[in-house]
Amino acid sequence: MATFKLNVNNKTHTVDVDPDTPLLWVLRDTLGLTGTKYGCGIAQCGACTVHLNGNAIRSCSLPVSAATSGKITTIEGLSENGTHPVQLAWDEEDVPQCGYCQAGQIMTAAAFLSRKPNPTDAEIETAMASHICRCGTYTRIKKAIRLAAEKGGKK
Amino acid sequence: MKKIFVVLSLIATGSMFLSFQQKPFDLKASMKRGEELYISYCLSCHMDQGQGIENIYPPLAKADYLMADKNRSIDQILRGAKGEMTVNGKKYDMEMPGFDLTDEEVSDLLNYIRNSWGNKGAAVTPADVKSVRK
Amino acid sequence: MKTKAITLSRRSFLKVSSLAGGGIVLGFSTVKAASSILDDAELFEPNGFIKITPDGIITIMAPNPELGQGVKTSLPMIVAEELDVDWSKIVIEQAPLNTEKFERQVAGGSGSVRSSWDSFRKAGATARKMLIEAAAKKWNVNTAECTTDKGFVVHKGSNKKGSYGEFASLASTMEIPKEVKLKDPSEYTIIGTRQRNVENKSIITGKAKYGFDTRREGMLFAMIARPSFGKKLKLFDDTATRAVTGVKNVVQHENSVAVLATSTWAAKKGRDALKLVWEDDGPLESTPDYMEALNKLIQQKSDAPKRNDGDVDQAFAGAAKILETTFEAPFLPHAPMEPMNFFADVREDKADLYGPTQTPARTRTDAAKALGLPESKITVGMSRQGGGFGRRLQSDYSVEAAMISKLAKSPVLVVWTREDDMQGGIYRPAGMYNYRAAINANKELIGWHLRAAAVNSGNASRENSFPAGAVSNFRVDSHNHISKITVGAWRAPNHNFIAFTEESFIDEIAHELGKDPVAFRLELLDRAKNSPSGSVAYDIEKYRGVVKLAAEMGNWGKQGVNGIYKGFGAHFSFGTYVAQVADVSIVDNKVKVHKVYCAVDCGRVINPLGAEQQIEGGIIDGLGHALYGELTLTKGVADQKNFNSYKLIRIPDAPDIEVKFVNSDAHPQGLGEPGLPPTGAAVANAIFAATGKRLKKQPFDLRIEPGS
Repeated sequence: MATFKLNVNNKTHTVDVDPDTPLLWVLRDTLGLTGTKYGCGIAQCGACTVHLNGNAIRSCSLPVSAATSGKITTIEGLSENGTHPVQLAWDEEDVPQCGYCQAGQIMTAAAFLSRKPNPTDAEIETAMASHICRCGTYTRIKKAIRLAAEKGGKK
Repeated sequence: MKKIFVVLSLIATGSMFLSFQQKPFDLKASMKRGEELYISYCLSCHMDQGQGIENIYPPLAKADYLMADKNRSIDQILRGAKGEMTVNGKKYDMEMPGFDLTDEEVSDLLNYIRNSWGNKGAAVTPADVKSVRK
Repeated sequence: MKTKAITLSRRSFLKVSSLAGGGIVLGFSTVKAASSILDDAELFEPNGFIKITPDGIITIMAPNPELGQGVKTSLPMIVAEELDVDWSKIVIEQAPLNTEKFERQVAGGSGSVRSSWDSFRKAGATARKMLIEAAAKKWNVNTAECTTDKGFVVHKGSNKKGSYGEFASLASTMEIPKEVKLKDPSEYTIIGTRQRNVENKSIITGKAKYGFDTRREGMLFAMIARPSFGKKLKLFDDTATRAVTGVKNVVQHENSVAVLATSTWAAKKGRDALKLVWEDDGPLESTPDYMEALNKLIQQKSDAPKRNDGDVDQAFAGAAKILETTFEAPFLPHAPMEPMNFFADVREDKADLYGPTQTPARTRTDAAKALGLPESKITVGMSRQGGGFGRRLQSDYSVEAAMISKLAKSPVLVVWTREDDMQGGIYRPAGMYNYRAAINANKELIGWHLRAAAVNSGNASRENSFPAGAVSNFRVDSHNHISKITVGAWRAPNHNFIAFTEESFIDEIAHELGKDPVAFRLELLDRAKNSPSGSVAYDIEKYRGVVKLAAEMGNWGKQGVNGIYKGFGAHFSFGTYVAQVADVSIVDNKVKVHKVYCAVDCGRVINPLGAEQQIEGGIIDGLGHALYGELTLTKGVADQKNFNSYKLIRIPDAPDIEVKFVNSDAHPQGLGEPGLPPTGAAVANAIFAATGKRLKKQPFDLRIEPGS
């Protein structure tokens, strides 16, 4: 066990865990932030996506020891009260079915749009291709990202 | 009157299937596409500057192991990597899963990796990937 | 709004807990679910569906498991309609298992709405009537002069108006009426309107709690080392496991070893550190063995055909031409995004079980048996569920969690890794389907013979599917190959592959006869209507309706316009008629599915927005598995372990989708499953139109020779 300082959602936490513990389990089991989900553990499905210094990363494959230097944002900290344009678009397009993968999808979409505010459809597909939604909400995810881009651009 | 509920959306472009073979290879464009793929598939382990994570995930930036063998890299992206490897004098032993990407995507991804963060390598074409995939 | 400070009784405390697990507030209202902390005497709770407090909070219970099919939205819509309340101001709460209050707390067979339509409406209407009676009593007026308006009782003559909350206490003392009048559908203001998922807000902010997110006082996380098929535990050594920081206990349960720890990661590290020795427990089969066994079975007729109209032997003996095709279905894992998990707190005399299950009643019954406790001592609560697709119809994982809690004497959340989930699964049975069609000299279809075989599936066929009834000599034989492998229902059981086979074969016959595939289907429907052979198990007009509508939506008739080729597929399942047209093109020797047009007749649509979602999801699921789904076994062990080797459809392959529902006043039917079955055929038939290649096996082999 070792002590690590983590900046999560603009709050500093000190956690005492094994250095090889993936960030995912520190978020979920130590800090109680269960919005970030486990889906595969090998960075293939995207359910565990969080932001590290604004980049969408897979928390299931990032040891906590490598996460101490940056700012971590989880779905709980993406916005106050769910008002990020991507979250609003997800609601407006009624994207979720089971909803389990959606926190990860939203985190990737948010990081993507901050880099590329006006993406083409092909760029959306490339950016989101590393995620799996077993319910098949893909057509709505595409629409929601287009909508968020539209509204985000008007801000 | 017939009342119906309609969902309509635009027909998606089929641009990901565009052919690359006929034109001269545009490395810059390929790298640009590859950067997006890198962010989606690689960044969480190999990090934003290709620096990797000490003792866990090997670096890609100025990595001797990476630059030594282009076909090995193609193979590792397609089929994954397992077992011990030495990168810049340090030993790593983590399993990397293979990725389900097209020939074009693997070439884009490798062109980005092999020409960023101080790396400089010859272009990888979709045909190169195809020959390793077989 | 006033809130009351009330001492928590044991019963009301339980309500608070269940609310914390699943309660939600609709819209952006700041109303808190205070209904949970009130005395029973003040609470109007006429049945299991509705709770109204004196301060006006209206809670509608959603009794069925929610795993993405939208019943937590659609079922309360039905109650709210008859109760006559403002949809944006109600609280919706997931009810735990209660077989006394609720009829069918199951997520399966696309049955939630279609089986509960009447009882849910009645529940709402009963409460409404009692509130009117209470108001009339309080105002001392005639009940007939009172009506309701979105959460208020109104008296026409005196202009008196009071919220439901004002009459809650009085209403709770009234007798429950036996007969109630239901609304005329023309008066509906909620049913038939587009309502977003009531849990969107909690999902997009990460607040929605799934089984995996269960956290209870003193709870340990457990991971379990289980034998693969055909193995049993010989011995194990847990020395290294017990040395892992955070590991608290190791218990053996039958042939499995559970590691209990203070975190998921410690449980996993502890499990990885187990030294396990397995031994053989009987013969093991591999995928080629199954296929060989199935291939033998489909050469045979059965002694008891599932359906046998006319005389197929005679038809085939006199045929001018016989078409024959064999289709192959692989095993599939369910692979819901949330892997299996369950919470259990088992004590000497009672047990508290909580988590994702499609069948809470089965969970309770099976847990009672395993634990040796009466069912009355077991509570089962349902979390939100990250998909199910049939996997959570089983009780293996919940009963296992209960046993681990009992053995370890600790509250425990058993979690499965993706690898556990994919390898320790219960699979869609592999199957083989041999079709023969007899065609006479006049180019008429005179005989149809299906020989179906699958692994442990009971009846591998759906013998009354179209075109049964339209072919004078029609026989279906079904065989079962018994094996140790555990199989189970997988979204649209049997239909999910049968529809692909039937609709592909119909397409093949149509081409052989030189007929347009859609016109050929309509001709068969005419024949089923005018000169039926045997019984007809589908509504011919509804079937015809969706076939025509889909053809119209998809501009059926022109092939190859702008490189787009079209394929057709239709199927009737779970009370719902679905027909689809798929648009595909071949770009750089690759198949691209651009768009799927889908016509649906599911009776009355409760929530058109949710209904569209279900159909879209079904189409993408059907397409994804037709393109990629395959689980193979080597000596009982799945070769695919995780999403790097088991491929699921991703966003670039998702087509655009257009859905139309036939306007209908008929009893609502299923929606969670019926969208899936026709898609594989529609796409395969389009690929045939584009390439001349018939796809007979899933996943599709899409290698196309350059220049073809």
